[in-house]
Amino acid sequence: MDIVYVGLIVGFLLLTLALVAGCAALERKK
Amino acid sequence: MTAQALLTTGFFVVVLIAAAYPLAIFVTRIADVSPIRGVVGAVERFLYRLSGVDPKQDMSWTRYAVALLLFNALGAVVVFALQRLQFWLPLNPQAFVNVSSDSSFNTAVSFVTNTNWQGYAGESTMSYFTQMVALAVQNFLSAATGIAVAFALIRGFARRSAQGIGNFWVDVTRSTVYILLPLATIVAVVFMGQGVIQNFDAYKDANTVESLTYANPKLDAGGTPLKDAQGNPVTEPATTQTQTLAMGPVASQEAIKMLGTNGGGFFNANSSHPFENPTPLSNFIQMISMFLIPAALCFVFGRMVGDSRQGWAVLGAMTLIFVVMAVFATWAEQQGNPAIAALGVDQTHSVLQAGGNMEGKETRFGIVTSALFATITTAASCGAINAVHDSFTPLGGLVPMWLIELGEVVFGGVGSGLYGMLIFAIMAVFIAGLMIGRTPEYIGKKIESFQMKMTAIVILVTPFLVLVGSAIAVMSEQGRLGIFNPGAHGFSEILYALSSAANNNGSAFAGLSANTPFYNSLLAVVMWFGRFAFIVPVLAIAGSLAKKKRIEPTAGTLPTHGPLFVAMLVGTVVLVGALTYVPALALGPVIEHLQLHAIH
Repeated sequence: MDIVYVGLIVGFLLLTLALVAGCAALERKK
Repeated sequence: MTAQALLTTGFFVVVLIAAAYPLAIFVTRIADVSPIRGVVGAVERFLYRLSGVDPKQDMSWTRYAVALLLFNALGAVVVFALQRLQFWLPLNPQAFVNVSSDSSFNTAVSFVTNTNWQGYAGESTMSYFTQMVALAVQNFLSAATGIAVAFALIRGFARRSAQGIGNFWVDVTRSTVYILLPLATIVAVVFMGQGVIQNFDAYKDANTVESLTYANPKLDAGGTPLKDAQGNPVTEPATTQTQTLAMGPVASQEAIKMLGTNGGGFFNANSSHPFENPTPLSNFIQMISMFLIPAALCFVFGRMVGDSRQGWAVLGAMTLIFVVMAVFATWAEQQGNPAIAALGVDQTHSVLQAGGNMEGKETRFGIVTSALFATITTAASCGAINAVHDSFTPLGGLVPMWLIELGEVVFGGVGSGLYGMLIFAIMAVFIAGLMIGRTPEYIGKKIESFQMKMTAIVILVTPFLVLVGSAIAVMSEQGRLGIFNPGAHGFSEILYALSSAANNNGSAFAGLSANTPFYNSLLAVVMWFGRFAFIVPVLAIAGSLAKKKRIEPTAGTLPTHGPLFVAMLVGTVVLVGALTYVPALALGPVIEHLQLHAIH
């Protein structure tokens, strides 16, 4: 199970990095 | 409401401001990006050389955000690993086994996000090594992360036509080395002077004066509690005349737990345990510690933007909401419980007794400092407790829950309280701009479409997590199994847990059994995105504001340092909080209050 939970933390990180990319794209678009 | 209650609240506010103002002068120097010279600065420079950081590099907001996210994700993996390996690691005199996977995951996310929600009991789960190296270290680093984001947002307002908002590694290092470590050392020594323990001893067995007879749960061969045909636990009478006293390095963890608005107790009973919070003086210092840095950061904001009145205005709005909530919670608890009054129990305040609703409260602290502590800990995103919030009256318990749901902006967490309140300030000037038909501006920066889109994400992310998370919990079998108290109070327990997790508070209505794979996973998701999906748009606002020119105020500029703006800011915070959560609160504490008074 450990690998699943570490994978979840990495998944959280990737999703939040996607939010950074989304906000940055929105800033360029304005 | 007694005179003692009013005097205690008033005295608290005066001491807080007197302590926060000088601290703010020091913190403003730390927030300045220019290097600190001499021996003190040598430690900082050594750390940069060791980690290959260029302290002169000014980061764009995206780079700042990526550094912050990588740093915190790595922290979560380390905390997870240390819990899973604790049996083989040193400083484990009780030979605690490794923490379960789901609990380790929940705790790792919890401490990295400054929530410190605890599904476990510290004294029966965590080794001293885990407490110190995994949990206490994150108490420092998560608080430093919050301060770093606050510094970045303030720079966004203070800078003119700049591309960067500072350097994340410098902000975290300086916040830890110059602010948190020295303050925590001083407060830990004071706590030890008051009787908070600090040792690495094995737990001690003490002989009690009287023998105690209790119902001991019967276990099967696998160690699982047995249940009868009706599903009730099977017990057998047992007698004991010994009590095990948990030991540990408590004072060092207690200091940063309060100063960093973390709130995760060394013991399960948190600050109601006599080894964590032994005296009325230690209790008062704990209350001041929770608000100290958040209050100081308001002054730092004013000083860095070159108009200290702006800091006073933000602090004024926070103080106004806090005092009203503290007075209301104290009043509600002093009214007592009508169900107990119906049994003929005297609940009046007198020289012989505190009176009011004393269920779940320490007699050492009584009604006033229990209600005040509960208000402070939930306003401050701390989550430490010195009384059981689950045992508050319905209206008294509504205050902590609603303060959490306001977004932890009433002083709030270290750093997060200020950046949360500044987002509400942006919203307040936007609403004012709509009213009078002018482009809104705040601290000389025009608030335009991009800033409002980011503000909308910030305002919506936590209510979304709380309300959707609560809905999932009450609709699923696994979620309902955790409820100990059926009906409206059970719903309050779930709503409180999700509110606490999403807003990174960490306190609980203790009636919910949340150390299950379902709640450990659900709350971890909510804690992570409640923290970082909030921080990312805040940094985006900081970056976009830093690029703007700063315009001079004109006759048409809305003054943001006077009583009118303070009232607008308070109105915006209260209105958003009320509109978002009143329907859910009506199903929990409001209906419980009406039921209690209808029956009795």
